[in-house]
Amino acid sequence: MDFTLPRLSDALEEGIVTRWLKKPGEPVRQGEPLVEIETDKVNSELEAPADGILAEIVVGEGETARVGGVLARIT
Amino acid sequence: MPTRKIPEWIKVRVSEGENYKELKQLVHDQRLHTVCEEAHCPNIYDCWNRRTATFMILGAVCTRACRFCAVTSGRPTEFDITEPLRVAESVARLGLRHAVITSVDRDDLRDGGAEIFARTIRAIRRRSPDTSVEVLTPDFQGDHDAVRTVVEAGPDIFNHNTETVPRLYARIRPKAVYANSLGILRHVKQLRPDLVTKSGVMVGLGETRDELLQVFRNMREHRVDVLTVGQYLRPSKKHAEVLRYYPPAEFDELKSEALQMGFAHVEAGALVRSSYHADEQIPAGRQRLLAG
Repeated sequence: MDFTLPRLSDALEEGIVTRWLKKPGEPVRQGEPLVEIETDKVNSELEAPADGILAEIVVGEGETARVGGVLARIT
Repeated sequence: MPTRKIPEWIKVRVSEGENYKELKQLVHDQRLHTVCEEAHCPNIYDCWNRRTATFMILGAVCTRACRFCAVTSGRPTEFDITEPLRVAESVARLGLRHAVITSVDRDDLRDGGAEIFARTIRAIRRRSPDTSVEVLTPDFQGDHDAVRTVVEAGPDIFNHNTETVPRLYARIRPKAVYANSLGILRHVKQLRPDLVTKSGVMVGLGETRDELLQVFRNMREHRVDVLTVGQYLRPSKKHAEVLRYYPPAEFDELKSEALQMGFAHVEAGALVRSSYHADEQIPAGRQRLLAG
């Protein structure tokens, strides 16, 4: 499944990925912190949406992610 | 590691748990507003998952346009006398021990919305007699009759924020007057000395430490019991810039200075907001008053 950047607030358009907390190939559990995103206001820690394997990181550290855009894929 | 603009200690966990979802649905179903959503509060996940929320009454459009605030500014049209009942219903359905009620500024209304505040307090009292009620009010443009209307409805805590230091009012809170804000806090204590008063400031807008301490002293001169100090965070690029991020140790220092001035309870920290963990502040405020 695609792991996307949710609209964390009405005005939010994009965020910067500051840190991935898992490496590709590692297992993830639903609700576990997976990535840190810097937005206008704060650093937000996003949780894994499902159990699985972090198959691919689409937006790397230091790169900008759009709201609704795919951050990573979980299989 | 990429360079961060926002320090690492300003971090929240985004968690749309069951309580969060239930609260979101309830607020939507009851056609209510919360300052949590309207002000893009970073603590929304934490608070809503703990089943606490701050209701924002008198609509979602504010007559002021403060430079720190994300609430929509404009000409309000909403005036709904059923709103107090809907807030009370939501408080009951959530089973809140402590309800915090705030509002937009309604400089267009003769009483600034004080009567709706009073009705909301009474409606919560009737529906949930064991729930404590905290109000976070606008400055009512310094109108003491409006303050009396709210105080006579019998809230447990009366909160009004000075928000920043007086020198920055022209830039940050252009339609507000520092003396009016202090005057409100003073008037509440004159009307009801046993009512817990509370006020708060944001830091990082360009104030100096001396200016902050002077504001704390001014609050204590008016016998304010509870103080909150939090980091200003810019809601969007259209708002005032953050000029400085205070490290956690500096919040600790401010807290200890404030406690020495005699506040009964002080919350100071980057993510502290005026109603953040408000339910935990009541006992300290009350004990202090009981102790005289």
